[in-house]
Amino acid sequence: MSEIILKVNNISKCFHLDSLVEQSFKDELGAGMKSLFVKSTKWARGRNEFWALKDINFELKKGESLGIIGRNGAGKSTLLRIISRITEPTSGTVEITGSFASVLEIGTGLIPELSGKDNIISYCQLLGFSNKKINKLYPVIVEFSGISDFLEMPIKYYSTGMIMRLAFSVIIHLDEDLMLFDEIMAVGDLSFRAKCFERIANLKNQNKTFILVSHNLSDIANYCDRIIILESGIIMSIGTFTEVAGAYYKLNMKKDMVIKPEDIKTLESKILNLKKKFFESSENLTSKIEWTKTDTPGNENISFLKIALLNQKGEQTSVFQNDEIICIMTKFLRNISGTEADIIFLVSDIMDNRLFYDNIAAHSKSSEMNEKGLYDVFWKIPPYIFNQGIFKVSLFIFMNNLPVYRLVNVVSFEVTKDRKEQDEFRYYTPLLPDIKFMIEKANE
Amino acid sequence: MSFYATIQTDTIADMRNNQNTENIIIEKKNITISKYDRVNLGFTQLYQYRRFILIFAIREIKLQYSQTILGILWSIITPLTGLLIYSLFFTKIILLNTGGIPYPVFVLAGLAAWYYFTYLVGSGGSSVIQAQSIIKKIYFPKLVLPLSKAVVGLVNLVIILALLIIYMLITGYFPCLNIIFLPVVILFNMITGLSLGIWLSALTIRYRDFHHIIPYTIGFGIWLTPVFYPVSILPESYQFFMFFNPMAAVAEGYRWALAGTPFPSINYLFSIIPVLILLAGGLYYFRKIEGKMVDMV
Repeated sequence: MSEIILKVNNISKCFHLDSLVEQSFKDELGAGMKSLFVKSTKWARGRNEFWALKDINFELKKGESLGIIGRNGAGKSTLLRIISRITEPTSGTVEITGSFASVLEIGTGLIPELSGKDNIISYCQLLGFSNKKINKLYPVIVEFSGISDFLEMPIKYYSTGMIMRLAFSVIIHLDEDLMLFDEIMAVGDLSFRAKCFERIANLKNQNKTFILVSHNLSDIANYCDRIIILESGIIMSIGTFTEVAGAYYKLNMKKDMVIKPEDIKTLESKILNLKKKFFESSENLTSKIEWTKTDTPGNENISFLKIALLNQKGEQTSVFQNDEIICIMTKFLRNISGTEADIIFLVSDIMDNRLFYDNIAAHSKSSEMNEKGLYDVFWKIPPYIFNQGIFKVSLFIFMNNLPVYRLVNVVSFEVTKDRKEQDEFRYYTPLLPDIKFMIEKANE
Repeated sequence: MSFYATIQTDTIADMRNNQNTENIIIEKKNITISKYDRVNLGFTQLYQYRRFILIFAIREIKLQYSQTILGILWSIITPLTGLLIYSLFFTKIILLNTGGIPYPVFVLAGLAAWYYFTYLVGSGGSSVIQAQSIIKKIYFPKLVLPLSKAVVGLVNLVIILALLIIYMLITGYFPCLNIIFLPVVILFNMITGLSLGIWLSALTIRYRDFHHIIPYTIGFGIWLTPVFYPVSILPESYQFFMFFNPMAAVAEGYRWALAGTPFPSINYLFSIIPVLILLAGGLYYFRKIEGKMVDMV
């Protein structure tokens, strides 16, 4: 029984580029006068249009949290600004039921000359806290921020971190029905972040709804139930993190594929085609990489010739089922014999979190690859390790326990799961090992 | 459908009921956001956000005197020195027929009017530009900004007037009973200033040219207004032009309310009616471009 708290209907936003070019009164007066006498279409509207958003539709239920990701210029901020009533849409409506607050920037309107105390109160007011609430919350906010010793000091003497903590402590105490946050999560040290995380979990327990915009996929993964991918002003994909994160990664890999505003205006089918191209192919994943003898990466000791991903049949691929063995193969050349060298294999997830690694020397006698010559190394990752998603492999050459050469994210692969296994759990974890439960009836 | 059309304020009552519960609901409202409709002047939103007027005014006042040793005393010291200079300098050197009231009182009443007017035109006119970093990030009706300047200016004006009255009491020239109409004169002073300030605050966003026009106009405007001289020193045939200057009416109004000079001529209606039209037009224009302000600044 979840009521809908936010409804975005067909929101479009168009900027007239010509009118935004720096123009003074004189220019405009001149152009206006001209148009009185000369029939010119140039003065008319609709010259150089840019559609920042086109037909955005979505709904948000009470208690849900939504993440919006997209590349720079995809229209994320414009969408948030429209929902926050800061700019008006060119067409379409937004319906909000219940109380509402939006934070598009940390610390808007803080005044450097005023004291911490004055700034906290003023910031609370700007964010729409009632006076009664401010009186009640002020000590809590001070406590949360951990700057109680500096309250009388003008905040221009604060460090950046302190100002951020001050502002964030206020923001985190918002408890409207619907809250909007734009790129604000990356603040403070570990313990401060932990406090924020706790507070957000609390808000979710109180059935509060929020929208989070971030470049940082792990913030989105940690806080959001559903995710929208915005690209060139249209919604490319909407779903849980597990469903859309891979698509986002591919989108970012393929930098040259830009949807032009004209496409949006003209052909809906073209957009569909583009969407297909983006999300249903794995062409953006590198499953194999080879070098010629002349430009091999590496150092004077080891140089790589080939890195490839193989399935259990030995075929080269970049898509694996979660019940398959994933084999990472590398061919390298040892140029000098005698020295001790080691290669480290590292797997990271889509958010560049390091998941696990292994080095050759840990499993073999170092003498095995001490001689000059060509070597093939196979690293087999057993099945039922990964959740579905995209993973990247990096290789490092180590000598005397120091990394001397790095090949970062050289190959990447996608792990898929059977559709029927798809669970309802909405939080993404990169790993999903096969671990059994044992349930016993306990004695009274 | 109007912009932010249905704002059902089942709210304030709700708010009171909920005050004791754990989560205080600030404002429970249903908002619909769509393209803006020109008929609605947006007073509903303005009323809802009325506390923002004070919030901004208080920020401004605090800022004015932060990190000064004397703090709020400065707002007394500045007009006080003016008062001393005028009373010493002008009474000895320049002698004008001011209709029987002491010249310092005469000048200061005019200057108070002119001060408040220029503050509203100058600060009010640049208020939206000045707050551009805030309006890009937080929503509130933008009309709050010039109105909050009106409050800040009012505080300073009241201090000046209070000093003037004290000066009058000290020098033995008691204010007359007309003083009960002083708030009306102040209100008219505010309206005159705002009628220009609101126009300018909206226009400067699009055309920065007005940024340069303001100080220029204010600079010579004072000489077209009977601040330092009474209207009576003008040749009879030129006095007529004064009736087109609403600030002449305001200055005369202050003198009438404080010092009991004759009531300003009914001919000032020539200027007062245009002021009201200007104000209405300004509100309309401001509201018209309000939705696009953020895209333009």
